Amino acid sequence: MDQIEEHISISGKWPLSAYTWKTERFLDRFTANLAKKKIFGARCSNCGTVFVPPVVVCTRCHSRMSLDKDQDWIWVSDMGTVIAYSISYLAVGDGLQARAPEKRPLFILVRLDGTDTDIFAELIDTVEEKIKVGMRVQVAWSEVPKGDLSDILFFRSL
Amino acid sequence: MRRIAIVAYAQMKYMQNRNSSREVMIHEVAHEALKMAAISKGDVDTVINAQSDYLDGRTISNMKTVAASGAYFKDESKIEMDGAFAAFYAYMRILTGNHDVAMVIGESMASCYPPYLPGIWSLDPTFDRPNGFLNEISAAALQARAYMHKYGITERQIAKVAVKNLKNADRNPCAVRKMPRISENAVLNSKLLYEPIRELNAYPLTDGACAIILAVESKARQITNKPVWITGAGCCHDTYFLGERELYGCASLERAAETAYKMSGITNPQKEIQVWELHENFSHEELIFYEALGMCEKGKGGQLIDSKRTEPNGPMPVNPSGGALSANPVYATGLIRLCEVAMQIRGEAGEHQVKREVKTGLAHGQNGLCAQDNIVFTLKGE
Amino acid sequence: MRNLAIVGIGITKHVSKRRDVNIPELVYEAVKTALDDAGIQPKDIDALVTGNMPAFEGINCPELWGGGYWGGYKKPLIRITTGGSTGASVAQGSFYMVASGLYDTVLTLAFEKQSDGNTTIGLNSTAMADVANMTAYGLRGPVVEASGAIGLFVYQATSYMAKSGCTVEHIDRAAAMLRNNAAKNPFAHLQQSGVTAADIAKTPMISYPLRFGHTCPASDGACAMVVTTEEKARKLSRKPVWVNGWAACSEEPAIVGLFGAGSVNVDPAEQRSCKLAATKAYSMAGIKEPWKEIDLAEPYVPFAYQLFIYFERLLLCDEGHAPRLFDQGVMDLQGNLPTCPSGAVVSSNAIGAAAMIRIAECALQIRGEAGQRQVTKEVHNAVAHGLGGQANFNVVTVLGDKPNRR
Repeated sequence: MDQIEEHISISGKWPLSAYTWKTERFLDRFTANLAKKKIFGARCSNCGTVFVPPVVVCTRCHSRMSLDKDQDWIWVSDMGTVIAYSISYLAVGDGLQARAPEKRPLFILVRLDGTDTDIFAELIDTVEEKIKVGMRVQVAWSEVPKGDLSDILFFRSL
Repeated sequence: MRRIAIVAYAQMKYMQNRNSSREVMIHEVAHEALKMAAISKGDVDTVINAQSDYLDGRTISNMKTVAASGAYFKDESKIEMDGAFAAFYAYMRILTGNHDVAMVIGESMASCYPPYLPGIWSLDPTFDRPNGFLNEISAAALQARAYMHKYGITERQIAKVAVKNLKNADRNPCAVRKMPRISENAVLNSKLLYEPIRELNAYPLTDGACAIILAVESKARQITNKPVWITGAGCCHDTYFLGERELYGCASLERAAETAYKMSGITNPQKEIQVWELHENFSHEELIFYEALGMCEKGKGGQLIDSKRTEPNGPMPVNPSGGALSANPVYATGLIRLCEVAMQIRGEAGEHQVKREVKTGLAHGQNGLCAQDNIVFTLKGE
Repeated sequence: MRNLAIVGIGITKHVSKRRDVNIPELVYEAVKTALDDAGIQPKDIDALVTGNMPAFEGINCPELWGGGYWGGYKKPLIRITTGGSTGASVAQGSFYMVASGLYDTVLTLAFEKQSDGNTTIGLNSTAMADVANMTAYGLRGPVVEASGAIGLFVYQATSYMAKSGCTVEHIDRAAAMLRNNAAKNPFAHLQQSGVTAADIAKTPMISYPLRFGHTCPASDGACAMVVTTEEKARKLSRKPVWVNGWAACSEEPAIVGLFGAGSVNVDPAEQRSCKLAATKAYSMAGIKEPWKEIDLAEPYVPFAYQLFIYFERLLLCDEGHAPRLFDQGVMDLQGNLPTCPSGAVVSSNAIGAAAMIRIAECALQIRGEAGQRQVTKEVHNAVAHGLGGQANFNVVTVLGDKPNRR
């Protein structure tokens, strides 16, 4: 027991809800293409780095990406390689509750072929024992994609 | 000791509500500064950001600005204070010889944080904050009243600062608040915020960013033929408790200035400095700063503004850019003062260039309520 | 560049709640200890460098309130904040101040009083803006909730495990070693003497491969150091600890980029910025073969598996070899390259202070003042490391018992 005796406590707040964050609508074209089951990466016209999802400023060469020009978008594969993974044992609900073994979601970091970035997603239709770094996976498209980020949230092993 | 100069800079059109991310804003000024220096991101050794978690609403606010500030794989750090302090840190980094070229960027967007609350959140949380009495403006009001009472400074004299700066701002394309036809009466009749602080005597909420590039002499001479040398720098932190400070003065600015003057060898600032860019969040602060910087005797700040000697064509022009009263993107403001002095020395201040030749200038930045922390730079042209 | 040394150190005992002091008082304890250790008075301090992560206490720039308590009255003072690496960035601020020639004696301090706020929300506030944008664009589901609890570290761990021989059992054993080290450290928060790898293995797995037993606590604590010139150091201290090399390097945050953009930090285990910072720091310190010349390492290890990763990224062995060296006992207190004798961040984590304590621990070990946890090897050169952001800020400091600058 390392608690030392309480003296006076005054309560206060730092409310994050009081802030606004502004961003460019750089995901619009990206998500619109997801509706067509197509993943488009933004390619920096200066250094060729391919970003999925797109960025507004190229990290490598400090150039502003011109996301409205067709030639700065490149159609990339929906297949990729698992860079890292995790298996969720605890559900974050009211506190942390242990999940039943067959109900543990598998999470992966995937690098889609031809891109220079990675994305995180859930690996479905795969048994826990099969998951490993380096395995090949593919986006598990739904019948009718929504045209938003959830379209590439699920992958299947190849 | 290494000689270090401002070799390039970039400002932007300051706005009340800029329709872009702060990252694009940062990228813009960083990119423009690199362009002006005709160097690339690869030539920069270190990047110092002046940002605030409490202004950006992001903990570790420099975590996601690495790309935008050009800090990818660089020795980058963050000063959570006014940008002039970030410039000071960059200056020290180059002084050691570990780095030769530094990029310094300061930014904030008042359209994104609840106005004046970040100042309230810096108060002592057990008494002042729940008490609900102090904020930036009410604290400034206490200081204004103390100053007026001590020396008989009038509201009209204070208003003259706003008139001067907001008129000066009209010739500054970057300023957000410019009022070429403003009069003393208009200031005196403007909305009362906390007596005696009136709206036109208080800084405008601003979105903005500013970048400067510092370089050691050998690199500076490759980059520009008009290096602006940092000849002196000093900073000082005062006590938190307003009651413990002599609010009618600014002791921490006196100390900071003393250090900068000693370092640069300036013994008669009134004669040796040709332009002054001061960080005045409120009009009365400028008068107090005159006294603390030795521009006039204690208590004579009002007389100094009356004399018009601090007008752009006077012998001691103060804030030809319009100062913080014309644009105050918090945490960029002090950096803008450095930028403006550099512009004056290089003759690049366009319409708000002061008429007489500027060899030496003074730039000032402040941090905290009622200018609790102050920093002074003296800059000199070739 | 002139030489500089650490001559005073103060660390408070880290606990989960210090409800008997406020921030200025907590930090004062560390400051007073450091000043007394150096044998100087507040008036001898020429400048201060401070830092903490303000989300955890809900106070904006607390040095405005506390500066006077710490000897900052009418002194030059700057504030540096860089996430988990804050403590090291703050210390490096003081090194630059002294090395620049502008100030002789600088007090540097870092702290966190996490019991004042909500640690989970504080951690989440680093990416709230990004998650908000991604949610607006359709992000949802268990992957989002899970990422909050452990963040990117599980990915760093599994990527690393695939490249090295590291297993979950290795992580259990690393955690056990670190907890036992911490039990010998009077300043550490979690002190579990005699805990074994089997005990750690019994703790629930949160998200593979991390168990509860592998994770760090949330602590209230502060650290302060007095840094000064060679001339003053030789007068003040019988054993000044020389700051011979330092560097920092920033890269893109792992996993979630700006507002959901793609990050080129594809493999969070790569940590190239750490290798770059370490290379520069060693070079500055005149150390050519760190794996031979470094006697002690204090990498920033909030999750036990990072003991292995950062041992490698600090260039102390070839990539992938750290688990084997650990098994051979190299990293033990009695080993050839003792690592985290303090018990590491996994045993004490007052976020703002954590990276500075790595430096302070190296200094105490070089002085031979680490008490029960003093390593067997004679420590001539040590390396301390700080990690911040989403594994994208790496800050490396090299200390020595002699001024050893290139």
